[in-house]
Amino acid sequence: MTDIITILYAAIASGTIILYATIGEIITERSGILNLGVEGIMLMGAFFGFYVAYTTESLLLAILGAALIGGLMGLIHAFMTISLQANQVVSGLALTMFGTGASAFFGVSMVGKTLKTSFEVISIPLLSKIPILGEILFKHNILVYIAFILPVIIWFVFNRTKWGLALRSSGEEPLSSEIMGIKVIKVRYIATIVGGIFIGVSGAYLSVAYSRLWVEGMTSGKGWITIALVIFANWNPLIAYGGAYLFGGLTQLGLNLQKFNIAFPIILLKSIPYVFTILFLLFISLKGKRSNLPKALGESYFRESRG
Amino acid sequence: MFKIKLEQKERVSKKEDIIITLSAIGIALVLSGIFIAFNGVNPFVALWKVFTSALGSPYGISETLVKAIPLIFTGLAVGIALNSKLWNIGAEGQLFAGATLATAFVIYGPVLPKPLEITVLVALGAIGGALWAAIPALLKIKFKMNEVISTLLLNYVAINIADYFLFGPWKGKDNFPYTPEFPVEARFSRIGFGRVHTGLFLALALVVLLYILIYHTKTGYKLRMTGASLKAAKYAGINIKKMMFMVFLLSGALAGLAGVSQISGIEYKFHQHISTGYGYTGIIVAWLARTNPFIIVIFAVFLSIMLKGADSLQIAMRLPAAVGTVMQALILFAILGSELFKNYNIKLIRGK
Amino acid sequence: MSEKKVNSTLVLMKNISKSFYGNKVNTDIEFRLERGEIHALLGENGAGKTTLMNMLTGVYFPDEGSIYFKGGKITYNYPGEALKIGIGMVHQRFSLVGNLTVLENLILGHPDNKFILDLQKNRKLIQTYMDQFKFQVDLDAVVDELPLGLRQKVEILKMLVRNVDVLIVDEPTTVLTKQETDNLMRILKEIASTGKGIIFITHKMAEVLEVADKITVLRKGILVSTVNKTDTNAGELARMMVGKESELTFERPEACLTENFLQVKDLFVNSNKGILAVNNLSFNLACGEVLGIAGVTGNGQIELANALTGNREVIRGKIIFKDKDIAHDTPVQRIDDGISYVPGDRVNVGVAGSRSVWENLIMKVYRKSEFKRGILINNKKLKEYAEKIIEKYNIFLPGINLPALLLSGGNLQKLIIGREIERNCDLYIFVFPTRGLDVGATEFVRKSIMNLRNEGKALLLISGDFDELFALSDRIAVMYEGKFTGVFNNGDHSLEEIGLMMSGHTEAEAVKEMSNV
Repeated sequence: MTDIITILYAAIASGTIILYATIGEIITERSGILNLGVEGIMLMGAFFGFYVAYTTESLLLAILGAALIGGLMGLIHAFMTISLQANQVVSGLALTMFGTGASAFFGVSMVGKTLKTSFEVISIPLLSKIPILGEILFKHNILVYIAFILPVIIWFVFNRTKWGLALRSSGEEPLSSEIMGIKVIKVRYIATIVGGIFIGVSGAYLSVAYSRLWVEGMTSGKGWITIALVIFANWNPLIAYGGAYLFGGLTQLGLNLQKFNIAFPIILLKSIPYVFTILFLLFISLKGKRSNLPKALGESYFRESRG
Repeated sequence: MFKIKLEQKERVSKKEDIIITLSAIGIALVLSGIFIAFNGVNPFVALWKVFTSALGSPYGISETLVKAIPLIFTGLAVGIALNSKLWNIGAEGQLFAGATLATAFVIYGPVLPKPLEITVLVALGAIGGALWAAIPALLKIKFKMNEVISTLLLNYVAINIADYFLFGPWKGKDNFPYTPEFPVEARFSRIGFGRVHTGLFLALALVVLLYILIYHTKTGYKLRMTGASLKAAKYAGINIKKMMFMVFLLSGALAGLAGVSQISGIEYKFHQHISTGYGYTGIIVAWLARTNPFIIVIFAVFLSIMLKGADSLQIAMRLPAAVGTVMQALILFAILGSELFKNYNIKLIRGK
Repeated sequence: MSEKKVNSTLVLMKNISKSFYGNKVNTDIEFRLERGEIHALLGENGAGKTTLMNMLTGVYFPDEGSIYFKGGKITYNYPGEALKIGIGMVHQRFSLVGNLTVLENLILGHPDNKFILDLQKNRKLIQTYMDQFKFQVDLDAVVDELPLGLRQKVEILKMLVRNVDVLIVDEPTTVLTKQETDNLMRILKEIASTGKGIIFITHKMAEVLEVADKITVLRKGILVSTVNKTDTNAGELARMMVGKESELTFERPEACLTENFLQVKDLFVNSNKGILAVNNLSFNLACGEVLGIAGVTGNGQIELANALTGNREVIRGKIIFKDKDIAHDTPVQRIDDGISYVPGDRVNVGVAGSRSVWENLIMKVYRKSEFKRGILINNKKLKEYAEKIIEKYNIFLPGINLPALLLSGGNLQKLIIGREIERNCDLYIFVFPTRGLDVGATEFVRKSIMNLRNEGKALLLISGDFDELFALSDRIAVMYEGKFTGVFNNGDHSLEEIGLMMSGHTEAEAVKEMSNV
């Protein structure tokens, strides 16, 4: 029993990495921009967050630093795809390449270092005393708690605010939105930068709060999982919870396979998020069910500027 | 107040195209220099070293070629898909699928005389890659599923399946995920130039074959028209769905060959690290080369020079090997950004 | 007296001219809209109506002329400005954001929106509009799930919520049922009665006569006339829309005797939206005959053409060609059978623009055995074949290896027609073959059509150009909503009668209507 609790606890902790990134990418994609650079941004966030944490011993600065780097990389992608009309797929892949390479390049000095400060576990009074659930949910660090409420906040912004409305329409019908008065270009820039910020933070969480070390390529594909998870979550921040923690759980299960004498090749469980997503997409197209796929996702929006 | 106006150019001359591309590469190299200088290394020396180490000695050239071989395969793979406006992001997974199928034969099948064994392995590699590409092909044709997403996701599944075998029935005696060494019959021969193997000939032969296919056959004509305009192709009576499926299979097969080329040509075994992202780098090669098979070879070699040079920088100047990746990324960004300047004239207009 | 006029004139467009790629689309047009007026803009497709309105809303800039709104001259800087000053357009292609609800679409980008949207207040406000104009829409429905008739209401509501003074509706009844159309007319009248001005773009005369106060007729980019509804009638409007008789004549010898070379029986074909585009159509075509098909664009002509070439599915019915039912043959089979199609969309369908001229010239012959070289194709022979066509048809081009899109419209059409004629087919389908072409190219096209006819080929000519139809056709069919409202010998009916048939009158009704005039 305690094993299950441990695994579920670890699922929450590990799922948080992807949750931040997924929220960020949902925001970007909802505006119509496809950012395949998640893996690269995450790695840069992980490296830079760790570096700042190590040199300044300030956790706050570490997170802010990662947010800054993530935002900068988002800005590059936005500039390339929006202002320079570059192909979104290729730009995102270039960003991933860049982030992977640059983080490894600069990160050499951080390999093997340990942090003096770390995110403390904060047991929520009362709630953490609940049997089972308390153990699983309410004994984490602050970043995990923020991730608990972040999707709800984002959901609220999407559906009840002026910004959210502008965002959702920009990704669907950019020209019509423009005619109605929405500055689509501005919306997409902001969405891509904000998305980058969240992805950067996810990387910093990974290196500073979760693993507490830096290793080249330490995200091992979590950036690509994020992209899959955005589709799995149907671009809805509330469903992102499910996907992120589910994936977290599956990873943990995989790591603890000795404890369970199940004949099924556990290693294949790692494929589940991907296969799930493909089946989900299939299901949607068969049933004609409403997918929230932003209609203009990946398409270049060209507007001849008026002089 | 100034405003920027974009005016579509009437025509882009080849000369202009090359000048802009070279300028972009130049800018990228300058930016790379800044990165290198960061580590206290003289950027000019470092950049010079990249080229000399990759091209300055027979050993350097041979190692560059070794890296270029899988890149030619994956570049061709992605290139032929891109020609029909299809994005095959799954070359990495198809590479592994081809390698897995070929390895299965080595492990479970009989050991045949070398020419036959190699032929079987090559065929299986192509088949493995093609089969893996058939999945996103069908998903796109029957269900209109975006192939960027489906090929991308399937990469992970393919690698996962390979892991299953490597950590399971195929694992080595010491419990590491490495297959035992391949018998001599299952190895591509060396051509007598460092580690360069006959896979190079296969790759170059394919370049020629693909060129002939695309420009000198009926099928190639159909592919060209389909890639240029779906509506016109339909009007011409071409079966677009059949063309799409064929392209995917061909693309997957080529990527699968990259996999066989690695396990039989270099590693002589199958393990998790037979590819250093060749499937993804292939996308860059194909895109930079605008899908022309011969230019794909040029860019494959060009990127390999970066990769090999980076390796040497790591050894000689204690620069992290990742510098090669950074340089590639910067070049890609620069060329991406230059596209706008190729297609549009930028005009500044005064007024509010 | 003049002060009153200045106050009540909402829109004045003076001396407006506009060209696209050398094609003059609007020539020296004057247009005036008063408060409380429903002003119809009537004309054939391609007459320039939508372009004129796009200039009023800032989507395009006029090459010449000025636009005044409420007495002041206006120049636009970006598309959203028109709505800001009070001019709103409901386009033919609805521009709602599909994944949002009706309510969200209505308040999208509204300048009064606060950060946290006050949905309650907006609901109340919109409800008052819906009550005022007596139509209801479910505000929480997702737009993608709404039927088209409702979507249009939402579009109109959108304009009302933004307090427009001028409401432009572009071909609003194309996708509506009779009942929805009546509803729409009522709503428009209500809106006009509150002092707003409405511009109603259409090609349907019946609606114009029902709802408009003033009517402006455009033809080929030129202003024909602006009249009050009370001063005109259907026949006169038809004539204004469609133009004068032409002087072109061709010799028309007997060329062939096979009556039922092509038989179309009870044909049903769907449009892209899933509604019937060809609705139980039957007709015969003889060889050595040109059947001209007149009709406003969008009444099923293109779907018919595509069904004949195999590029659109036949739901029901038969297509019997050379005694064989080919209704379910593949496009390739029909190309081999001897069916040729010269499409209306030259640039995107007729050629693959980015590929070279010679590759486009061999588009239908590359499979022939004479061009084989083992398992390869003989590029040299194919290029020679292409060069022969270029010479024979005098196609002017920068180079045989350069992309086809570099050719001018006329030369592109020569390429396509030359290619098709050289194939020596038996059935030729031409769709709007002289659209956008200069005099020389037009003459070439028409001569080619007559030559084919005289050689005994069967031809279908789908065109909006009456000079052309009268000059070239042996028989004329008028297509309306997927059916032929009339099929007759060339010369049996006047332009006015044909115009009426194009709006839905049957042959008998049209004659009757004209005899009443």
